[in-house]
Amino acid sequence: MNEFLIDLSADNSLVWALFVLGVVAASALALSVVTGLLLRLGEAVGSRLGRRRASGK
Amino acid sequence: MWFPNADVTVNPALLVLLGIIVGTLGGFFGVGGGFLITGGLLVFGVPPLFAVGTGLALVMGTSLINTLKHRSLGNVDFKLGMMMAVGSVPSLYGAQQVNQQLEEAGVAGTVIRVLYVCFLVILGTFILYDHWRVGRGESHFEDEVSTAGLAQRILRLNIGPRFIWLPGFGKVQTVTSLPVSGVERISVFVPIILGAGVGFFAGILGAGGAFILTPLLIYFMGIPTVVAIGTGLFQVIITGSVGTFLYALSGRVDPLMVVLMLAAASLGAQLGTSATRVVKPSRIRFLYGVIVLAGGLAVAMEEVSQAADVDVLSTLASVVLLGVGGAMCLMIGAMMIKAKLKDRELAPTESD
Repeated sequence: MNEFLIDLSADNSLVWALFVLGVVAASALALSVVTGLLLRLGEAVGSRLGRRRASGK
Repeated sequence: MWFPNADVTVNPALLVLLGIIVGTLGGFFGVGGGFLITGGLLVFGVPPLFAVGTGLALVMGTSLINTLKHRSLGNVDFKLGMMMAVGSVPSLYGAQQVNQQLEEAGVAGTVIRVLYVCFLVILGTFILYDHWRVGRGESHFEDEVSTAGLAQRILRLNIGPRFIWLPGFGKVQTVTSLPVSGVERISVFVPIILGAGVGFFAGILGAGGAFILTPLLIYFMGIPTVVAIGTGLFQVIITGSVGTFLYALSGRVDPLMVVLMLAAASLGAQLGTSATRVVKPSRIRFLYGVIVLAGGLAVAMEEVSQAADVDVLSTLASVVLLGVGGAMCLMIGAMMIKAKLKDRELAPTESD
């Protein structure tokens, strides 16, 4: 993978620039979805535990 | 860990830490955090041009994440952001030309840093002054600023013709409304001109521009603080993409480093963005003033370090910036926890 990144950046600057933009944008979108889901899951688990504690189970 | 494009070995834990700080502050203040990232990467030993290029790519990524999160909270005025982009994108190009002239004259570094210090110190001082003035009791409205009268006058400005002809659209009215920002009537030329000014300064300073735009929207257009934060971030996606593309063309971006920091920044972004829901707008503005002043101090130290050739001052500048940034993240986290605990106390339990 390291070889690929070095070669691509050296061979074609325009393709490399578009590749960088694409990687950053795609990673940001994917991470946004994943962390959003994780946060929602955490909140759901937290509220369920809180309700359980409140009802004394 | 070795990063092939920058050809440098950096401890990944440090990059993760920097990513969390940048993501949190970006989501909370509506800034890209370019000045923080570049400073941090330089301290970690990343070559200067790679630090700027990789920083811009991270700015673009975190702004995208933060904008999406703010969008879900209804904090982004896309219409206003697009109008400002009409002005900012061409002026970014103009600023690049000016920068080239300055570089040819051999004064680019000094001019940029002096401009940066002046701008950050004036902005930070003004924000803290506004906080003090509003807090003194002249206003009782949480989102009100001391420049509300000026903002109203700017919104009422009638600039240019009332109608223009656009290919494909025909005759188009130049007066519009911005429902998300709560503006009933505004000439489209007002945000375009403001956008051009922001784009020019951002281009000269090599930043995304949100640190100029967000306070401008709050204090000069009277836009609610959280909407200004969301819209500022949207603007940074555009300016950050242009900057990333230009630096990537010359091969000065390390995508592996960006993705690693972006993963950490996405976690911080969730915290920072969520915090804007529970922290008072006046407190967000106050903390913003503090971090802007810390940024001014760091750049001033950097300038002295360059002028007097004292390397240790340059490292100290980045440490100050990262220290203040880190402390700010801890404060944001503490405010979130406090708000959650308060919510839990107020929430009715099943036994009630």
